[in-house]
Amino acid sequence: MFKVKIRSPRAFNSQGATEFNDQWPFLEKAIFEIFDGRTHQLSFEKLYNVVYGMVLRRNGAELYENVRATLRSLMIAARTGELARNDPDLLEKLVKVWEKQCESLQAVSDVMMYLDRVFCKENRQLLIFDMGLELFRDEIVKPLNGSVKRLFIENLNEVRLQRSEAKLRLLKSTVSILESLSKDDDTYYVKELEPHILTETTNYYDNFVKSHRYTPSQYLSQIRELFELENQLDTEILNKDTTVKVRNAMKDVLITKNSSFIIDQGLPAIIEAEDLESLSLLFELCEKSSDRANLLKTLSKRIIDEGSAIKVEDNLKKRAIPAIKWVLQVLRLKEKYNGILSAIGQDKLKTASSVDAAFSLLLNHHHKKTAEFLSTYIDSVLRSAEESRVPLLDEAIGIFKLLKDKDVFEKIYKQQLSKRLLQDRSQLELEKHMIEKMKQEIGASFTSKMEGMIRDLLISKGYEKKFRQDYTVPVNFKANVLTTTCWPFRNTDSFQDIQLPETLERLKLDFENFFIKSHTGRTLRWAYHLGSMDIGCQFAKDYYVISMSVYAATVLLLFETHSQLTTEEIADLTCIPSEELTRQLFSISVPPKTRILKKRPMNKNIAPTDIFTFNHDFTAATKAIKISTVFMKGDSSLQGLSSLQNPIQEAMEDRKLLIDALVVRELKVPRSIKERDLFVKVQTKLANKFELSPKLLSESLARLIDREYVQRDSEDTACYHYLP
Amino acid sequence: MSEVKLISRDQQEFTLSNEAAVLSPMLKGMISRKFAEGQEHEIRLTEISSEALRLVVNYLEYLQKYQDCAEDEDIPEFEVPTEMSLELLLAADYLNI
Repeated sequence: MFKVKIRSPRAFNSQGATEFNDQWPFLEKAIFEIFDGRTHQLSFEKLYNVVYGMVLRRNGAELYENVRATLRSLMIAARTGELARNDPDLLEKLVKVWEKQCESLQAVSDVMMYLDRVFCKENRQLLIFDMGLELFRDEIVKPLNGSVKRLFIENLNEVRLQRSEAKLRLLKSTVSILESLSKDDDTYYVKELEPHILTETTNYYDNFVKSHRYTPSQYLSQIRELFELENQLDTEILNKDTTVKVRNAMKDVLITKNSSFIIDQGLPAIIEAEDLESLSLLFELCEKSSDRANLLKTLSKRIIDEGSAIKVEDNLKKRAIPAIKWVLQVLRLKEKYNGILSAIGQDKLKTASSVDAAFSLLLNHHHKKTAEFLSTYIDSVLRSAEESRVPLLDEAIGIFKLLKDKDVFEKIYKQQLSKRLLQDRSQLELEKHMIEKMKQEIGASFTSKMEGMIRDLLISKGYEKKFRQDYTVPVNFKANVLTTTCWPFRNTDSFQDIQLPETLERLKLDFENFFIKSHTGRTLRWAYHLGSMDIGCQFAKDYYVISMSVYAATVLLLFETHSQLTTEEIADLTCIPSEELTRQLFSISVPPKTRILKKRPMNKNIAPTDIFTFNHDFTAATKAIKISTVFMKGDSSLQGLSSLQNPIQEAMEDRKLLIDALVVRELKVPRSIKERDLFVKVQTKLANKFELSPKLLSESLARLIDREYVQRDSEDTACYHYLP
Repeated sequence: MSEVKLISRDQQEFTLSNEAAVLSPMLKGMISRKFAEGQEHEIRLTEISSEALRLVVNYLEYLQKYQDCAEDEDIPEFEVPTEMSLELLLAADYLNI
């Protein structure tokens, strides 16, 4: 083993007095000198050495308390000497005092470094510097608290009106002083000044608003300027946190508090004026969620108000016209709001969806006939010869998207589509385009039958071509072979064959033979009521081409060989069902414009014994005439028929079946289910067709209970069980 | 002035760059505040012997040289003669190193 010799150091701090009380006056004097700005005359090392010695001799606590007392007296002296509560330049002076005190304090703290490190940390006392700050707070800031706050706000309000760099610096320094001081768990600034700034800011802007009169759009641009100015000032003076808080306070006082003015009155006025700039501003300013919600609500209400104000004209003669006009106006309204939407910079998605929701409400609840009107509008577009039909159709899809009664629309659309297709009134390309658009919106199941209808027509064109190659066709004959399931016609079984004129009868048989050859096993049924025929006819005065139904034509052609016939005879010769015949005879003999047969006696009833003759004296304004079949009042069978054809009622019946089926399907697997859950499930399944109402569901459940598919729970009435 | 003069108890003088000196908080306080030492760039350390002060000066220069090095770099050990250890410890405590 070897020993290491360690030099024992000379006892430190051996020179000078060793008694605390002897040394303290030296330190105290030094502190005074530091605060007096005479630091440069002092030897740091000597002071440090004294402190070092005191701490080593365990006089730390005593030293600490003495330093505290000295600093306190210095602070009090500074306040009473230089700072007066009602001095208008108090803030400036405070900042000066602060800067000086801080510097001195730092110097003292450096001298006391050894005390900090050894005594304060071990005894969990505040470091000298922090203790000094506390003293500054307690002895200088607290007694002047009220004046400081008042002066701060006065200065702030002044720079709000007129920018002054000096004042801004002053405010900024004041903030940073108070941020350096602590209070409770936070800074003195946060606890004392910030709340004051917020309330005073609110007051300031409240007064500002009250003392001015603006129109909503003036107001908006004015407050935007205020926001910008305030934000600029705040970022210079205040910290980020307060800046945000001030902004919120401003929103409260400038927007939320005045929301009835800027939103309830302002928004409609701005929309009225189509002042997109103000509108965008309004959305920008209404950032707070409650304001935003209010704004969107008002916007929606405005849309619904405007939409509901669109009048449906009474036009008994042409039912399509009010529908078209209405849809056009709704489209213009939508266009307007799309323009408005594009002007809004922020939160686009949410705004767009609330505009959509408003339109949806308008279309589905405020207006009952949207489905019918929309279909009629599209019908008119497709029938028109206008050049730019595609954009018009695409625009209409916008409404289709929002429409809830898609099932009703589908029914009406299919009927109108079938008419357009069979009467060759539209371009197939456009029809396809429209169907494709709807398919994109809600899927293939919605459009499959429509596509089937188009397909039938295309295939029929092929048949026609081949038929003309193989057979002699004496007239311009065109047959469309329709798949019954795709087309909106019911009761195909009740189609009765009639006795056609000979030429047509042969043509019909030829076509049947032709068709059977290539499609064994299929049956063709002739739907005469869908067909039409053009007949050229020489009357006494002129030659007219008359377009009429196949039935009417069959009747007319009888008069090639007969000079006069009674109703009964016509019925025997043609085998047209009597109700249909009555209607057809009425159409060609009663209305003066289409009276190609004379009837005796001349009245508005068709009796079995009425006698018909060819009306040689017929004249008309145009060469081509179209005779449409008249629906007669009081025709009971017809009413039955029309109720079946009424697409809305039909859709309602379909709805019941659909709901019943879905309810059973949803119940089958879980066996029992709460009505609420069931509602949600069925509703989602039906979303593409129509909007399920609780009433419809409970009606369906009542039906299913009657039919013993479903049982209500004996205890929980909102719960249902499946009965296998 | 970028250098300070450190004077030991036995009147030996050492010069040290300001940058190295401020690594001791105590020396830093001495230089950066407006105390007499800061004006004169002369610091009398009446508590520290020249042997210890030499080591202190070496150590501060060593610290300044390597303070910005990454941890994985090769930093040589700072050798302290065993017999000086206690004296140096007191000096380090005094200078708050």
